[in-house]
Amino acid sequence: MFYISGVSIDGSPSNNVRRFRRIADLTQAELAKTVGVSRQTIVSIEGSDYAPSVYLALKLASTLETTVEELFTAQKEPTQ
Amino acid sequence: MSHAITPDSNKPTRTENALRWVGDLDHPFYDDERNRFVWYEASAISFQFLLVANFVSMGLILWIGGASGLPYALAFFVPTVAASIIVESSVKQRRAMYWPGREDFTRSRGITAIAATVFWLSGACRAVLDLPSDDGQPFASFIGGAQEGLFVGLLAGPIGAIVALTLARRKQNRTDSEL
Repeated sequence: MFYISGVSIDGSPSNNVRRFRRIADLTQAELAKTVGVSRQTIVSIEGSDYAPSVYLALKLASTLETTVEELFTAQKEPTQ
Repeated sequence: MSHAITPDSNKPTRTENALRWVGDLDHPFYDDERNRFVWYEASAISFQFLLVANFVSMGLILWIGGASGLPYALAFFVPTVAASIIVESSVKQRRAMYWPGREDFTRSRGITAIAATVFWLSGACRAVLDLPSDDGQPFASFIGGAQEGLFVGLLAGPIGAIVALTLARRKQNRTDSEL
């Protein structure tokens, strides 16, 4: 069974937004301003508390010069 | 950015514009999609809470106040029904209407809603029966006149609502199958 990393419910960060933001040398506030959302939204996305829409994911990928697949990869659910 | 309440159509109708104004959906705060999502969810919780709270309030007013509580209960009833109509018309326009099934009435949330409805409807019945008739006796001892109309209306209302909902559901299903 697969799940999208952005919607994992265990609260553990499971997307690569933070990593790519640091590579791009952007603060959360700067990234938020560039894609047109609040800093709190970026915080929530990085913490996997909120799964962004396709449009916001595309904006994030474009700003961080990567692809949506790289930011939000489908992962195999860990076996218990 | 303007997030549309009706993404399926390019030009919103007057009703849609009015609904957007009521919901203040064009506020810049909602340009942030997470803000929008969180606030809409919180608003849905609040609406459901108000719905049940209003039913319970109406029941309390009618059970405690009897016939004299009817005007006060009406002050709760009218906005509650108006808000429900706004919600239904809004989701219908966006083709997201949800028709409750049998399983919805066995969930704890459904049972709570039914209990609140029965509470205020029974209070309304009691209040109507408590109304004085033309000769000054309580309505319970005099079935007739204008009060009888009220009583019949009280029974016919829910029955009419169920029939209307069933017809609307069939119509929606027909329309959906034609798409």
